[in-house]
Amino acid sequence: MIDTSAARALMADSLGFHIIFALLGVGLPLVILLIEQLGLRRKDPLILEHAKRLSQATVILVVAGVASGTIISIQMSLMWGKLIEFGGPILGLAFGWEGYAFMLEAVFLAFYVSTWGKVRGWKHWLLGVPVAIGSFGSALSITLGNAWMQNPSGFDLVDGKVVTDDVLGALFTKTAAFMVSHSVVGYYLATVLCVLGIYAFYMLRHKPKRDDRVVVQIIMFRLGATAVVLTVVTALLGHFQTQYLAQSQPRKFAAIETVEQTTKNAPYIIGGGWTSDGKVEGGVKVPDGLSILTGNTPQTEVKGLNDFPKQDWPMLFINVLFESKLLLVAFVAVIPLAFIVLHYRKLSQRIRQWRHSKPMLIALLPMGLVAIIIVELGWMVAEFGRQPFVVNGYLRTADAYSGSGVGGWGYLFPVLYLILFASTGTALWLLFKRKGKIKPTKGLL
Amino acid sequence: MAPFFVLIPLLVYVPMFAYETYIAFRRIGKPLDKGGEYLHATWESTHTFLILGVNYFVWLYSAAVVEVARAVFPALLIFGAVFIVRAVLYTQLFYIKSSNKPSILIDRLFAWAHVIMALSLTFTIIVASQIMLSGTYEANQVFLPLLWPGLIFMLPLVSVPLYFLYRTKSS
Repeated sequence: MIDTSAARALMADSLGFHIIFALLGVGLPLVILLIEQLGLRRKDPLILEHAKRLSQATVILVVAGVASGTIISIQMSLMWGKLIEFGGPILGLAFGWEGYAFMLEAVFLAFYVSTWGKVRGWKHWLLGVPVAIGSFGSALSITLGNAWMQNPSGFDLVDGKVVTDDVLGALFTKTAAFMVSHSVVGYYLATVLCVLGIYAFYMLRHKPKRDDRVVVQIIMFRLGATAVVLTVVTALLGHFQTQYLAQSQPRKFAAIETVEQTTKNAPYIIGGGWTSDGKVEGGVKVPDGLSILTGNTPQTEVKGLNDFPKQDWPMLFINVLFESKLLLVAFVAVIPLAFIVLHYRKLSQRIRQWRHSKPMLIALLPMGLVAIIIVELGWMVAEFGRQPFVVNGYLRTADAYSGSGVGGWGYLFPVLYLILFASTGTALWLLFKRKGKIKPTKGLL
Repeated sequence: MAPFFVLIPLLVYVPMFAYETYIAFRRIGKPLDKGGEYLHATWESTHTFLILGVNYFVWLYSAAVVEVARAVFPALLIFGAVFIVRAVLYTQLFYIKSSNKPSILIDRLFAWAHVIMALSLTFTIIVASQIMLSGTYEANQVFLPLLWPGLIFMLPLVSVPLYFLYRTKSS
């Protein structure tokens, strides 16, 4: 059992590390395409130079992403062979497609980055489209597989083996639709906020003048507006996903929302927590709140955790992770909104000038980091909430372990991740520091 | 048909990685602007073929994974660990180091990382092949009809940009 825990910890470390690069890998191609098309439409080489700098940063991130992604693939095969054996007939298609999507993304990214100035105009922009499609496809495939593990369907269990003649039906489910849409839009949002933070840093450090200042302000406004729209979309998708979670995975839902007993008129508890014996302590109760959020009426019945055997309870701290996530979402929603509102032309000039003031730029700086933490928390809730099962209701995590013996590897890889993280961070920092202010060069248009 | 899904990406990967290994040794001690460059633009492309091959093997022959995993556990984790070390060295050489001067130690570590990876991978492939040939493992056929059109479509599609990338670096 100790070895299983070590394997789980190692896998969690690997996934937690990889997702940072994965989400940026999904989001950055789209952001770069948006900036490049802005430059092409305005025929502005300076904007194109901004897109080029970001694409160079993407390559550095992909180096870390490929390394950590390969490690995950290896670790999953080595440590969780029984999951692969069990889910292979269905998960195999999702992971096979992921291979194609990743190949499309990686090869065209290399091509896109190395052809700046050689292939010009909209032709170059078109080379970036497969990168964005591939990165989306990657996220789609992996999330389809994960959605099946969260809420498995579309198969029969024959002698303990998964048998299906409709793999597509098993993968493309309502759960998958909610998970893919919510997570991918969340990745785009996190990336947009990261880039917005980079530009806030650029404004603070380099204090661009004239043309460059105008260009940066235009890009920041576009990014801010995109962030506001994506925040609303992500929040709505998250709400509907959680409503569906109450029906499809009531055990996880009860743990997240601190529902002790099955009840109608369930209150929404803010700040409550679980005791180890399944009692809810503390918190502020909003009468009927949870029933209304779950089914739009106070009469909606919400299942309680005590309806489920204790050995099937998920990790109960997920409600703390979920509430932390909501708190951070509020933070991320307010600041870009304030930044955009300050652009409103009918405001007085004295108020409008705050939009590029030092306090506003400082406030925008950490938005990307916070958004990445939100994504991490979201996945933690999803994964810890599915425990003790790896394929919900069918295969327990402890039974999915191959028993290979993790040993000292469990310490080595996290250390290597930290070193890779530090070197990637340093490389990115130097990319923006050494090259300094972005200047227009000939030949991009 | 299932074995081809594993073999084709691996057969593409081997010469590409061998070429990268050759370049890694050729560049030792040379400044970046005088032959000390690397296939930086294709770095991430090459390994997608390995990932594809491993993915296919794992998911097509899922019934064999537990046994193969036990046999290749240390070798494949050594590969993984050195892969990360190589990524760190790569970042150091081409994105962090400020001077054009060569760093012999890092150059050598970088080049030898390729060799360790190749050795551990070769061991893994030999052991996995032995297990597969000595047992009777049936492939998951159910999703193959949804997989092979992708392979036929993808390989020609990505080979065009790859050809140009390698040609640029060779010249």
